[in-house]
Amino acid sequence: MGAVIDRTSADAGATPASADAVPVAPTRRRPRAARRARAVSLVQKVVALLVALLIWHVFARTGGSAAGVPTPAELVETGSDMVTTGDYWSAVGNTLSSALIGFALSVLIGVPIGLLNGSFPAMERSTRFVIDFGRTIPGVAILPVVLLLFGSNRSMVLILVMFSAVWPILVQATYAAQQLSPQMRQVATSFRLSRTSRIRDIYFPSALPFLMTGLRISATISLLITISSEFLGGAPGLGQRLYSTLTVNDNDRMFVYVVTAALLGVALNWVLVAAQRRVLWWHPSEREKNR
Amino acid sequence: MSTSMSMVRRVLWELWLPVLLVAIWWFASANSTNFYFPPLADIMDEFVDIWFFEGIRTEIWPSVQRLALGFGIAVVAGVVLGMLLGVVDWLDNAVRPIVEFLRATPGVAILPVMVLLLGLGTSMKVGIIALVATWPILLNTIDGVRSVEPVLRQVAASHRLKLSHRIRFIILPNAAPQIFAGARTALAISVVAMVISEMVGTPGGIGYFILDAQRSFNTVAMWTGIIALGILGYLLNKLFALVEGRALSWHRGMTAHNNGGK
Amino acid sequence: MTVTTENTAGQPAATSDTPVIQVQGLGHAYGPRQIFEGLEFSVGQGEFVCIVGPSGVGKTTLLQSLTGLLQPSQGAVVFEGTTVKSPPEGLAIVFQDYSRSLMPWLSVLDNVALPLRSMGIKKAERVRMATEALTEVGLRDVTDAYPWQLSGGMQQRVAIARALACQPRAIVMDEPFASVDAQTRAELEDLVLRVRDHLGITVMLVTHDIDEAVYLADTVLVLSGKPATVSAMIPVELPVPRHQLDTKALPKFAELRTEVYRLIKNSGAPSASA
Repeated sequence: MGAVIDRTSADAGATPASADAVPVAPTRRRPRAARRARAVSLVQKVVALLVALLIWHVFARTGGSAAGVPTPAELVETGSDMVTTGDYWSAVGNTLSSALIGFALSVLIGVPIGLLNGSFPAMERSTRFVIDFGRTIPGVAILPVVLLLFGSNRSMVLILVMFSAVWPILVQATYAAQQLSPQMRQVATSFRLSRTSRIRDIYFPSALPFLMTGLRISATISLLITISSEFLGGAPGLGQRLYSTLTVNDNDRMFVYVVTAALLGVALNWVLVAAQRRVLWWHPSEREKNR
Repeated sequence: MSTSMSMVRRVLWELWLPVLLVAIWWFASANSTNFYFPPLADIMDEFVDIWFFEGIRTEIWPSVQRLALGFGIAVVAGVVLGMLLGVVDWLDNAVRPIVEFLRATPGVAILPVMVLLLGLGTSMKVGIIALVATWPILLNTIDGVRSVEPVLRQVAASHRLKLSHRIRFIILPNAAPQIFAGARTALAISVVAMVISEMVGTPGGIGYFILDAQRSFNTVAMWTGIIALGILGYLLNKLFALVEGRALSWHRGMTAHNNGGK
Repeated sequence: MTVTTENTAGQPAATSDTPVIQVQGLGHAYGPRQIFEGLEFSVGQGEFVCIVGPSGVGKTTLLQSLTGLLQPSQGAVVFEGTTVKSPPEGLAIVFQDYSRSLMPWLSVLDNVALPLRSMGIKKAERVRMATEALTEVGLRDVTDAYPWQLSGGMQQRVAIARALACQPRAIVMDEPFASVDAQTRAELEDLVLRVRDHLGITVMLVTHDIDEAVYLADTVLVLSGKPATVSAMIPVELPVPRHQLDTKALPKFAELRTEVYRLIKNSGAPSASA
């Protein structure tokens, strides 16, 4: 992908420059070299990973305070025990569902308001300070209030998630509505495109890159704040497990929960990247990656 | 219309909503007997008492110090490592899976590990800030270094510039906009990490203040803390924007020209 | 100023003498600054008019006023008998910056067919019309490609095809070949001439390139001065069809371009590209 197809056809009789005029020998050599390069790259990654695990192992075996850290082997052992328990999965389920619901609610609130905001300069000017201020307030700052009002349950978590995750979407949706190149606008006017066509064929696709960025940031924040609220506020979920295992010094299980949270984050990131590639395949940022 | 008039108009446009919201809060809570939402007037009274200037000295200043230290470590580590990885391709390739894994990990999941290793004191608090703030800076630095215009690299080679000069005059300035973007994200993350670490760790700092006030059912003090924290976050952001604006003035001019030109 | 039939040899005979485009006392000002004023000319059916002037003289503003993208401060433009208030049906526009006027999320075919959707044309018919337009510009084989997969010259051809797909009676082009290299420019110039001959449409092309203007046009309008006015309307009596090598080797070609160049220089405007 990304190959420039160029054929000169100035006159009716001209033969198009043939793409298959490339000599055969170099073409055959290229895939083999590429395969070798990929293999080397893979070996490098594996070696680095093994080195990291080794360092971890050594670190876990030595040192006083490090005595609480399980070795990779111990971690896997504890982990394989835990994943068979329903207890473990209910914690994971709670965290995931809270994060998802909170994220969805943020999107439902943030996108319409953001789009409106970007479409009306008067509104954007009016809300500028509020948004500027709101997005810098750490969500956890209001955790004590929300905790007081709602207790250690999912509602508390959801409110905190929404409060934190709505801002990136709002801001990006605002940009999305504002950033329409004048050239595209001219095309819409000069070809007398209908309103439906303008929205569906021009405005919406050109808004997508910004919306996707907002969604990505928001989703990451949602997971982070979910676990944080559970940790600090005691609502059921991974965060709460992290806290409880920490306080009773149940380090083996704590580390399993730590790795679980990390895996959730990685999985989320992977999903977001894949989603972005699906939706923005045409965008320069995605195109460059394929080069 | 003279520019001073239009400035006044602009300021009015940007202020009317915040002022209105505060007014609504003020009057809606004026006669409140609700425990959780005391009258704003009371909060503001306490606010002045608590924070000016005793509170700033005893709570905010230590917080900011830890924040600055953690953030500073993150900047140095992120930029140095980022430059290294940006230049040494095979190393970047080898550690890329590990970096991506650690980056995607929610910072709060690392907190218990830090507590285990460093206890509940200052080193843990600074440590967690540094650790979570490094990633955006690191990744953006790598991107920034990678994106140096190949032509500029050739210019450097043709003049046989020393490595230190290459870094100072070509790589670093070129990567600067990206690095600053990463640092901006890192700042927001740092503030969150700072608050969480103080809520979990030993007494001290504005995060602890808010939580402690809540636990002792001193809701007025709690609200003053929340407001103070909000203002602090806002001011830090503005300060950062100022620094960034100064450092990247050449970049602003260039992008504006490129975008505004025909 | 209407075209005389001897300049359009080989064309289907003009059915009427009513000009397609009439410009009456056209002028525009941004606040106190008058960009251009007192423009008065008309363009006949099938005529190829080039408006040439130095960079910054206001060609784009003029073009926007001509096409209804901008409401002029003074005067009016009449297209096929109706005053232009917004881009009229039957007139299509090709912009200079193809990279920003083609939609990267649509295939070449979809890009070309886009205006047809808003005209209420059914899908099968749209595909047919778009394919026809793409064939006209020689891009029959890349209908499924995306604009950013194509070279600059090909992208501009897509933009031209998009203009042609609506089957307009007139096309207005804003420095359409300014962003491509010299060889591609030559190909595209010949393409536009062929399209005009084949479809009998009226073309107005704005450019800063004097050679291009003389090569392409039946009539050259020289725009210069501050505020800009039409300093001359020069009929181009060169044989048709035009050839990149042969026509430009003629002494008459050199005369014409010198005359245009002189007119631009003498009006004291910043020098155009020679």
